[in-house]
Amino acid sequence: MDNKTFSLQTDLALYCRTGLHEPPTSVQEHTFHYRRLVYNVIKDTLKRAFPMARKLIGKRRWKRMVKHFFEHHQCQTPQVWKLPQEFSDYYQQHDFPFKENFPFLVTLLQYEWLEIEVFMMEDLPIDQFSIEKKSEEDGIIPNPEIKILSTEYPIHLKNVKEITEEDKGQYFVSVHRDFYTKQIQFNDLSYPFVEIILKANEGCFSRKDFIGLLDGYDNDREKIIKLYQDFEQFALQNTIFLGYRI
Amino acid sequence: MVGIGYRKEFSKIFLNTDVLEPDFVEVAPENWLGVGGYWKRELKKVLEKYPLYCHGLSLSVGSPEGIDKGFVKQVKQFLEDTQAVLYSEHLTFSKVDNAHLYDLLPIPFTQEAIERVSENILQVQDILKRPLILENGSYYTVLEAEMSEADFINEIVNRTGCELLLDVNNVYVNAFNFKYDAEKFIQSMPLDKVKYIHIAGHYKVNDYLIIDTHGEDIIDPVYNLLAWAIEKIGKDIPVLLERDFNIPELENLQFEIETLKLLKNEILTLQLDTEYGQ
Repeated sequence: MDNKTFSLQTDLALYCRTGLHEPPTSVQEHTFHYRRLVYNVIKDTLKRAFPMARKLIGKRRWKRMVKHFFEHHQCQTPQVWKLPQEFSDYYQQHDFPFKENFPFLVTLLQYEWLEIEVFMMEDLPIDQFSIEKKSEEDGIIPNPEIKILSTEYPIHLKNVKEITEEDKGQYFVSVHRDFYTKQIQFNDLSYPFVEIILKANEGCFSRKDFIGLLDGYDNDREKIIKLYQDFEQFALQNTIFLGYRI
Repeated sequence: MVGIGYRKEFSKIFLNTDVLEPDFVEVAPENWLGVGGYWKRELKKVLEKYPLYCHGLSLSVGSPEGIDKGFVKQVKQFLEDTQAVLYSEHLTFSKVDNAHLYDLLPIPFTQEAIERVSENILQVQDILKRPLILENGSYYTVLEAEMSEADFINEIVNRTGCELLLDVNNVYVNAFNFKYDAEKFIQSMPLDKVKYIHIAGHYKVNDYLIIDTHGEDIIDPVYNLLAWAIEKIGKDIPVLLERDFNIPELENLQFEIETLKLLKNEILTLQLDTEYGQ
């Protein structure tokens, strides 16, 4: 639609996004309230979603980052609570002058968004399960409401302001929604257990299958069995695994 | 019937005590679409106790680029899943140039806008298979006005067959900001089309501006305007108390709900008495 009304609306919308080129309106001194009200929604939504990232880079950089995002990004979701995901993706895809100073900011934004995403995600179908095991070959029923993030820095283990280059390594953190309380839990995992969780969510696997999978990591069979048993108990207690197939 | 906007902030006390007892609750579908887990469970508890009214935020019937049909279909599914009694939205815009702004901006009162908005509303109604109920927005300045707000609304209602959510606080806010007569404005609305009423508190910035915040108690002149509107409408229309910020103790909200119920009953009873010559 190429007409005057469209232009007026576009001008006001652009002003709300940038704070620049205030359009003429009937009560000029009231126009800025639209910019203020719109921008407050964006600012508050992102502040609530990313407390750790904001703390890491400081309020001034954060302010610039939010301003840049809202000016240049066309917010796609009609659901404002999903906007933090667009912000996280935007930072990943664009250059910021301070990006080099914060090598794990991309992952930290993803991590903080994951907490919201998993907490809010739609309920996923879960097969019927029993908490009683009948045999070693019973299929494990995992909790599908889980995401796993790979990170080079221990953002889930240390105060983010205290993380240094010396901490650099390979870490995995699972973010899952507790089956009973529906609250979020984070767990630091080593790779073999990540593999088990991924496999468990791919299809029907039993304790026997998982022990076989761990065999690839160590030749000591007894140690492997013990390791798996401890993990299974931990996973069941924390509802990463829910029980056994009926 | 008097309802309350259901807020996550007071969900726990609301669901576990009898302090706040509305006749129905209202939610914005945008805040609940695709939501599972804890909040889905809480919403289910709410739905077991109260009828649900839905009031959207992001439809943007004033968008120059048209409406997001996929989103409307999602809303339709939500309305069906929750057996919502009604679905209302705003006669405003919140999306331009394919970018959401997450707040309600005033549509210019122009013929061009009438054409576009009417087309958008008809498309939404075609998907929803029910008339859209649209709220008169509050505004603080006007982009362009070839006609009055009342003429603008009337023309859209005539063209589309949509219905109205009369936001009495918005009428009060606009009348204050633009120095017009609130009662005259309500009188000029197609009152037979009013299916739902909103009422709320606001923030007076100065002698020239009120912002529609939903963050304060309702003030007496707004109660009076509501009473006047109900009398003119002459029917028992559901009223919703909006309180989105600065949420007080639930006892205070219940007091406002009871005040609204009393006010409605008084006027409607008086009207019945007059009709039957008592």
